[in-house]
Amino acid sequence: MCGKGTTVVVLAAAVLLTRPVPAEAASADDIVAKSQRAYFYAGSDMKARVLMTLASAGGQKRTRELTMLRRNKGDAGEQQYFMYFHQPADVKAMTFLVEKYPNKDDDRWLFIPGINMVKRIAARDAAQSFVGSDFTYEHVSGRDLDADEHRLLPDEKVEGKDCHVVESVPRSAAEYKRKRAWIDKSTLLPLKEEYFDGKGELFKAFKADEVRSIGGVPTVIRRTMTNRKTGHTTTVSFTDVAYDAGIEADIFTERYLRDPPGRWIK
Amino acid sequence: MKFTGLTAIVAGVLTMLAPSAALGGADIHGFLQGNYALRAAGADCPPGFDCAFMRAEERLDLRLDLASEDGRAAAHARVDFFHDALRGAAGVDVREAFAVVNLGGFSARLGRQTITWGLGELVFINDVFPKDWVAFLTGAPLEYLKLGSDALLLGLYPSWLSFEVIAVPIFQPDRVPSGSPLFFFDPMPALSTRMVEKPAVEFENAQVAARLYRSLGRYEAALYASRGFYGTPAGRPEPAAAPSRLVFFHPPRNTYGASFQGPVAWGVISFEAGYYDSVDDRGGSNPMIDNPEVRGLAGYQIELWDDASAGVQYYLEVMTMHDRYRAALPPGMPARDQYRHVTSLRFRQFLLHQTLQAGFFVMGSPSDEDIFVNPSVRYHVADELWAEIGGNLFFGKKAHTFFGQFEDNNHVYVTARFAF
Repeated sequence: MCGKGTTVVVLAAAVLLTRPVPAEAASADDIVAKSQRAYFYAGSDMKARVLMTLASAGGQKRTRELTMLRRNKGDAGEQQYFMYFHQPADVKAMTFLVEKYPNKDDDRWLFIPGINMVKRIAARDAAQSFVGSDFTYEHVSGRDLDADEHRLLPDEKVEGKDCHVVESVPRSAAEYKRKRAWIDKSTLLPLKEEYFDGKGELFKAFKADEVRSIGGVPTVIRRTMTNRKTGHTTTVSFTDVAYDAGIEADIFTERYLRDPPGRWIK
Repeated sequence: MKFTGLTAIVAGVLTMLAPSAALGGADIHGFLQGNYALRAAGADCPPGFDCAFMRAEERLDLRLDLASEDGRAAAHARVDFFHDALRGAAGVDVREAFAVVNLGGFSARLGRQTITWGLGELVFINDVFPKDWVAFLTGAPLEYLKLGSDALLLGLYPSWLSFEVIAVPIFQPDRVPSGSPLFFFDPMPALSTRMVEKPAVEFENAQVAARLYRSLGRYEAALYASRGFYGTPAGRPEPAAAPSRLVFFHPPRNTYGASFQGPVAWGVISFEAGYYDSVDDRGGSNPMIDNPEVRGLAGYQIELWDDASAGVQYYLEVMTMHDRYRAALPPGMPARDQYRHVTSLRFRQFLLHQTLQAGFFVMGSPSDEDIFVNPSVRYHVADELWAEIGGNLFFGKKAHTFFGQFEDNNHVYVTARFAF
């Protein structure tokens, strides 16, 4: 009896010791939350010209160029995105509106200029490719903090910069089974991310190629996502970046989808 | 070539402005397109009828955009230069030419413009603007189903509501099949003399349409009303005593409607309804003119898996004075059912980083016992160039139903477009 009781106590102690201590778990969540704020939410709004280059392993290149306007809506993490496509020529003047909600599917609208039609699009899967690139909608507008369980690994350096290393495991089915992120301690921006599939194999890798301070806000102005299985890569460059530009709330409405706001999309 | 005074003025102004604004906010783009449709075998074509090909057309589409420095004023023109090998003709098609002013919560747009309202997939309830059914039935890209309206659009956008009103001074009818290369149901083949009677160009014949819409949380609601004419003509044998000719005319029509759309479960649900007030046949006893009708649709679209979407739709037309219509219908004329049900399914899958698109659309009416099927595959060879192959196939049990009448027009189309 006595021996059994001791075993239970020892087991309980072992469980307590091997489980991440609450303080550490909180700090992993805290780091990811702060990193998301720095990466996806900087400023009250943001405008940027975005050039995406999609390259297949065979060397075939495709270009997507758009103006992105982003506005934070309140403190609960809601955001609005307005995108105007400049390239390819076939979709020029097409506009796209996204209402992003934390813990809920996005609302999306697409405007097709040829027929002057606004079409609402069903959006169930945030891990869906964004305009055929290696980036998903989640990579563009962020993933819910609570969608993953985050764990801190020992710090490492990336290109001389001290980084937190966070491992994230999705709580329900997702694009990946496990993700590792290297987050710059000074800027809180992700410098590197690795995505692993069910077999534990690396299938996607993110790299922040260039970080620059825009009006005092550290910004990843060039990033690359590589699909390690297919060799397909997407490089995204930001130019004409501005924060707190004063983008009006009504820009994110059907009126401006149909009649893009010239002042913002030049 | 359709070119009214209004668009001529706008197009003229744009042309004059283009060189001076070239260094500022001016932008020219467009595409070159080849578009061919080959009739499926089996049609019994009379002499002089375009049998093998239903479309053989090359098109240069030029778009010019001008914008003022502050973004408050802009202009847009879209002009197509085309060569139609079937008719051996070349021409210019001014598809759009308008100027826009945006001032705070107010906007105005004047000129030829495409207007698309409502939530239907290939059915139009509150979208009372002109359609080109001939383009659609002969394998043109879907965007050619819509014709521009020469109109003034005024918009008022206070924060809680959006309101738009459109005035179309000169009525523009739909383009409907009238002969080669399209077979269609003709209820009075004996009357080979055909005339078209358009509503007179008068102030009281101006078309007016209004839309009021707003979002309610994640849902969107809209109300619509219009005053105008049926876009598809009615036929009147003349003289009544001993008919020798058929006169096509556009009876007056008022419409009232509403729509609602929003997320439900994993998809987006849509509802739209409308009442067609057939002004000249409110009693329903003139079989040449449409009954007053109630039309409605319900749709649901969902993303199935990565880059795959599906949509289903149910649409209903109800003739409100069917008894009187039946009683007045001349003997020998095929009768319409009181209820016309139409269901449709769309499936689309993108592949290869969204450069390959496979689509399948089927729309059928259990009441009319007819069906329309449109499979298609489009590949973006490069950013600039895509090519599409597809089919428009019609099947029906009766010769007079909406899709059934087009059985002999089944075709395979090929389109290639180089955009710049």
